[in-house]
Amino acid sequence: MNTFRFSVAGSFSLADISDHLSLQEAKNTEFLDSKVAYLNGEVVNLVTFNLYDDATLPTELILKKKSETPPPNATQFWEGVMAADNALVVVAAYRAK
Amino acid sequence: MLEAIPLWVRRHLHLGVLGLSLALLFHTFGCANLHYAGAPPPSYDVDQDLKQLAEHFKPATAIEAYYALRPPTREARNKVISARLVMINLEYLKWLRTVIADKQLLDTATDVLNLSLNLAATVTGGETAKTVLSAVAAGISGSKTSIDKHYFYEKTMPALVAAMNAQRKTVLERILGGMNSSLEDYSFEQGITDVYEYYQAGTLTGAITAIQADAGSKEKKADEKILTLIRPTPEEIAAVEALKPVWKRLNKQIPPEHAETLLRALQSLGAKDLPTDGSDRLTRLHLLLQTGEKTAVEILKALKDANYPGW
Repeated sequence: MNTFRFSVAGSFSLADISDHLSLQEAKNTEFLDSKVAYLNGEVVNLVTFNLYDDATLPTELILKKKSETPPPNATQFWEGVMAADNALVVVAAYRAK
Repeated sequence: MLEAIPLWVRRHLHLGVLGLSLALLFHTFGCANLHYAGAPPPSYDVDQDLKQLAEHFKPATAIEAYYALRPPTREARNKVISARLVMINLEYLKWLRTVIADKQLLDTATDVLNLSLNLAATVTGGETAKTVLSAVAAGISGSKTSIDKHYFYEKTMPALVAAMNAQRKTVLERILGGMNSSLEDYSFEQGITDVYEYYQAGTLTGAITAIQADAGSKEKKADEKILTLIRPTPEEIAAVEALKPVWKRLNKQIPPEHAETLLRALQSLGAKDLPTDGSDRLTRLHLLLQTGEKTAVEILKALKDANYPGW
């Protein structure tokens, strides 16, 4: 597996972060996990992607607060802490079935 | 630098430090008195102090009072800053005492001894810091009910108090240095900003950030290049979509005419050490997009300019 990491500002809303990650996945990558970190003077999400070496596209990615109702017809594959709107939230990542 | 501040302010500034000391002494020496974190009951009523001091200092904390002055003075700046510091320290002391008192209800004296060991381990270890963060996040969100309160306090409070202590000290030193400076060197606005940061340093979020600063720097490998995902433009979104058919040729035989255009596209994008094989060139182009070294808009333009078949 060939992985690569990006930082996403913790000031973005969770919806914005979700859009960022979805666009990145449209480049034949797959979101694996995220960790909160403090880099270059700001709180960021260090997001790890698997890089496909072909035109594979993962199914739709959905990020939601863990406290919210899970989306229908989706499977949770990750859960962790993310920085969003300058606060720490527990987030669950789902993939459409 | 402390000499720059009136005696009454220094006395109250030290209350916050006193609160931290009480907490840490408790962790170190066990619980002689469960309600007051291993120390004798304070000889003052914190709530009453807070109320009286709030009444006394509230007018002095007002920003408009400073701006009403013509011209603004260094003394007026320091008055607002120091008054706010007093208020923050008293609130912090009040909060800290409550937190520590709650913890007493959960632990035995033996547990507390272990907490002091956890404290030492947590503030120095990146791996442990990550564990702490997970526990904190779970505790704050309340989403992981399997992590009970006992676990939460045992694993997190010592680290958080230590982090708050360190962060508050760092910011306070900066503020005290600024208060010794002229208005030109340390503006009123900068002072207010620093006071806010001082407040933040005494919050759980501030403490988590401080812990993660350590964990984050350890997290990043020395030679790792981490690019930042920026807000995508509509053009970028459209370009990502437009490029999708190109990637369907990955790992397949590339006709010579395609290979030539891929070479030109890579050259125009400034790529080095270009592969001779057409398929490898397409893989390289794909990687530039995936790793964010080039945007989809840039790659699309490079392919069009190189007359890639289909465009």
